[in-house]
Amino acid sequence: MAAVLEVRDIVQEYPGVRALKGVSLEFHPGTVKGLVGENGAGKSTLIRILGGIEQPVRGDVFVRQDRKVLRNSSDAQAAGISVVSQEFRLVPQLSIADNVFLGHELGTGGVINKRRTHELTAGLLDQLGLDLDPRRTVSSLTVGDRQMVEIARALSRDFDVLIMDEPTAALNGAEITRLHEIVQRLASQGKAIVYVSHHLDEIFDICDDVAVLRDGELIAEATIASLDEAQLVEHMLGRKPQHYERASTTAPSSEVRLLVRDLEIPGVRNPVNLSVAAGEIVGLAGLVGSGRTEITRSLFGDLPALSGQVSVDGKAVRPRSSREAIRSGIFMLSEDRKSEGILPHLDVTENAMVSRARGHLPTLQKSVPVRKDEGAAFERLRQQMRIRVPHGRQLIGNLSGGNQQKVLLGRALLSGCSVLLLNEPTRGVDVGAKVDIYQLIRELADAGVAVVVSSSDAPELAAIVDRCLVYFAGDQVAELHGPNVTEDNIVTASVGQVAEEDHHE
Amino acid sequence: MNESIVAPQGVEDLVADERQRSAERAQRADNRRRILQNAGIGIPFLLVLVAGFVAVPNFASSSNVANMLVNAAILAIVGYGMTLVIAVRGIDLSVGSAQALAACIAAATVNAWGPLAGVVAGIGVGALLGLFNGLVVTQLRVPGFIATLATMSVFRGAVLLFTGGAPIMIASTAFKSAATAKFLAIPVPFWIAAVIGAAAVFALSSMRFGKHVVAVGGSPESAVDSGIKVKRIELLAYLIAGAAAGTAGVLLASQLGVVNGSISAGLELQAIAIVVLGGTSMAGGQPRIAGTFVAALLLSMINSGLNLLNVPSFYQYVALGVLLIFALSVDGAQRAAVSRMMKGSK
Amino acid sequence: MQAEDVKNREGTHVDPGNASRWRDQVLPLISRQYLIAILIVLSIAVGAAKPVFWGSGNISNVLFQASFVGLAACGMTLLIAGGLLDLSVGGVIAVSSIAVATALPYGTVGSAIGLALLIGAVLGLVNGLLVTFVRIPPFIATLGTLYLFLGLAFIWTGGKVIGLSSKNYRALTTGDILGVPTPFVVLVIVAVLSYLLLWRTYFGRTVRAFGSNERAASLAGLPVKRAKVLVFVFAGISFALAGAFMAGRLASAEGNMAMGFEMDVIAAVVVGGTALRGGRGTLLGTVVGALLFAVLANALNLLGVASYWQYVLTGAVLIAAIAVGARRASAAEVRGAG
Repeated sequence: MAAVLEVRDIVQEYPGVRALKGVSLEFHPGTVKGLVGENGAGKSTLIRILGGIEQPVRGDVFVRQDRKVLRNSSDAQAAGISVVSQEFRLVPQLSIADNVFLGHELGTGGVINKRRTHELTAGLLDQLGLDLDPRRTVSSLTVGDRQMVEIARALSRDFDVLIMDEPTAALNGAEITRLHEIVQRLASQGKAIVYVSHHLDEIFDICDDVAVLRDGELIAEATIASLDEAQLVEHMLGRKPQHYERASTTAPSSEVRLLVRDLEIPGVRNPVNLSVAAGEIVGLAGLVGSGRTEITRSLFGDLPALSGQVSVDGKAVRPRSSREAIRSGIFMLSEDRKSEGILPHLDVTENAMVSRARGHLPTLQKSVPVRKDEGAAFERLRQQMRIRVPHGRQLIGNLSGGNQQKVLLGRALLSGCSVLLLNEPTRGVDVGAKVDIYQLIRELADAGVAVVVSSSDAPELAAIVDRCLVYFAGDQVAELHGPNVTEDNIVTASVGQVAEEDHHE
Repeated sequence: MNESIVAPQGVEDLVADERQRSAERAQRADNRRRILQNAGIGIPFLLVLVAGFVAVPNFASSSNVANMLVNAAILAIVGYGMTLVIAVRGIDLSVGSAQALAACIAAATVNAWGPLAGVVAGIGVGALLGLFNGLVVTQLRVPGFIATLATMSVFRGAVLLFTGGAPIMIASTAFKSAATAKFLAIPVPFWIAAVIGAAAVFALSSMRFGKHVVAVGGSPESAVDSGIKVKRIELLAYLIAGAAAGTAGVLLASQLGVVNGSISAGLELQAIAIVVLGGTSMAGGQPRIAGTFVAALLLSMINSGLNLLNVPSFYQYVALGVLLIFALSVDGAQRAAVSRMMKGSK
Repeated sequence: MQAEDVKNREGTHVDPGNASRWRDQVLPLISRQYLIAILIVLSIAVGAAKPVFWGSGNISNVLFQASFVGLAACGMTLLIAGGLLDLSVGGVIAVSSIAVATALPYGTVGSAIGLALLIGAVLGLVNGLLVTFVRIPPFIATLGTLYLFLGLAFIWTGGKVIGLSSKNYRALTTGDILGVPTPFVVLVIVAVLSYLLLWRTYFGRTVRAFGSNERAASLAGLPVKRAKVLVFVFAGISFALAGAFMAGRLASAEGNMAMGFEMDVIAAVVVGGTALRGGRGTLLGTVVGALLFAVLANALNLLGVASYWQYVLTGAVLIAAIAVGARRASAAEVRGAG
């Protein structure tokens, strides 16, 4: 059958990074094509290009054999490509119905036909098994419901190709099942579906064939039946999946560095209790919107807790700002490196030094930064952290995600924290740097830091944490220890499929 | 406790619970916002109204009321345009200069070609100036506040060059009487403002353009993703703001009868003040035309009251500055309250 | 269809080193010297058209004019580096100059200037608190305080002009040091101090950090709020200093002595190469920018162009400078990879 959509030799570059290095792919009607690859492999870039949000530096897009230039998202939509994006792209001030039909409103002469809009929206929501009033404003919805509205929006358009970028990241088990049914129904109606997911189970469940991207290149493309999971993972990683030796062999010391008692946090259902020992790495797992982000933010003083106690090294603390939290020995790195981590106009040295504890520095340096000293400190950091940067005056904005993250970890290290909270530590980081970062986290823990890693990447948690708490809809639903910390256990608990019998040894 | 903790209740319950809580939070945030918005404009409005009746002589005289309504109408029309620009996260500081230029050109045109040509010229010039602002913002990518700060200066220079610093007297009595004519005992400009306001409310709530304005101001990324031409919406907003300033300029010329190059200085501050006081958030995505209308009435009452009390005009500066900062504080408090609510605090 | 052939991952990366060093260090240097070149060419051209331009009286005129704008622009540069802005320049200058004129008959020259600077600091503090704690966008908060301060100035003087009769004060503020007007010497000192403050102190680093990314700066534990208020205070002081010299030059003070001055100041900073988006600031550029506008205004004057044209020209140059800056910045913009 002729391809409904084809990309040929697509190249995309960002300053310092080649995100896509000549990718060619075909998409056929009636098939579900899985698109897999590690973070930073180029999946999102490819999707943004197909959605008209970015323009490739080279290469062509063909829609039904016609070469098309997709200058913006209306071009893509006109070409019959509909995208469910990973980020939430809804307007909070508008109603569900207005959001669903935003950009292709129903009506004549610029006046909107509200009744029809509501009826059609209600129909779409019904299809998705969602019992919501189309007139409700989006700001009043839960994260999972927003994701479903996002899907309803994509379905409301006329499309031949539907691209879904990790649509299940915020959905619970029942919702995922329903979504899979819908995907399969659409395929049977002759639509071409592109399905991006981190969860390989899903890929094997619903895809007809699969394309693997790694570091901006198409590594493999095959029918799903011809592959097994191990082979797929090998393609993604470029090597046999090695099982990280979890270092919990050296039992974490009994010295508790972070102790949280009955902490009531806005957005988290039940009070949080948590204790992390020196040298221990504790994972927080759960879907987007499950409440784990709120926990780290609250401990860091960014989201004030309502009641309860937190103590660091036995000293009670009550951080009401990040500054206070850092003073009391807690440091956090946000999941959004670009908007909450790096200071793009400052060089790497200054970026690493901003949170440096100045208490033990010589008197002069307590009041004024001394370039020579900071340069030397950065040089030490560069070697220790294996940061690939030509010189310390380089602006951080021009580094790759992995190197930026290493600089930020260096910032955390220099802050002299005893508790380190990490959110999605390897999001947007390429494979090589990922391993480095895992190792650095381990080294920090071995140096006596209590580490909390909040991540949506289950294999990542399985690889590095000693203990894992799983959150669902604002509630802790599981606590996994030692050998129980496996990808499978984390994923099943995360999507709310905890069955009583599963978790006893 | 060292093995696994199992969910204490069914997953469906957890989800339903969360949905419930989320809806409640949104409801509370919405209520809080509405209270602050309405209190922010309603309480000052009532206070000034009562104070005016009680303490200001001649406040309620029919000539003063008519005067206040005309002033409010002129201000409100400028405010509608500003509402739109602020709703798309922009700002227009050049409205005063644009209004002055439009009024002067309108006046000169009335003298040369008659009232109708003057009206067209005034509105047209305003629209052109707005278009210019919009192009600078969207095509040259200059931030709105600085672009319009610069064009404020450019337009002011232009109007001073146009008039050569001399006043323009309008000869046509027909044109001059338009601002004072009444229909059903209410000045015509007030009707005009009301009709334009109603049209704006309809456009924002029930038309494609309105949804796009809210989308561009509320979440520009979503707007881009939805295929909305964000730049075109922004351009239109500035253009409409210019046209509104031009329309108000024509009414002002009619009201004054004599215009010069330095009229309407500081109008931008009044316009921003009424827009924000009316509940349109500086954060964008929340146009409130009705609020702007009421706030225009409020400001016009304050100005008139201070005039009747013979307060030196300097104090009006101070009053305006205080009013603006009050309005912005309410806006800030409202946003803070809403974001606290959405995060889930009590 | 491509099957599994594993390529070398390392080989195809673009080396960011050279390209970005070029962009970070060499380009700004060239563009700065480009500005100095424009200044020189403009001066020569004006001098050729009107030889009076190079007369010592006229040159000192230009330097005086540049100093007033430049002094205020030093504070504005720090604000803009922090992603902030202050439109109340004209109000601060009016109030502080009126304070000088009022205080001079009763005190020493030093105490009068001290009073002016103190008032500048207090008014800056008001702006800083409004922006930082009431969370009003800076341009609009300071637009409000501009009218507030102007109103105060008019109320103080009753709308009249206050003469400034102290000979000592006039001698100090309009004199010269080795042939260079005193205010210009002060401008150079203030510019150097501002440079050190912005680039060589923890405070300056905090300012640039929140100018670059406010959210990231506060999550990194920097004292963002304090620094924000302080940078407004610093700017207020620099405005008041400009006002003190202006009052000396005019031998008087009044409410609208610096009406519209904020435009000139912002234009000097932006034309000098400090981008409005914050994160960086160049003091050398600011001084050159101030000189450029002073030469331009002087030229228009000498050529007998109607003063109204200055409004048009300043605005047009400002738009052009920012538009060019926006093009350059977006070409070098680091986009989110991944």
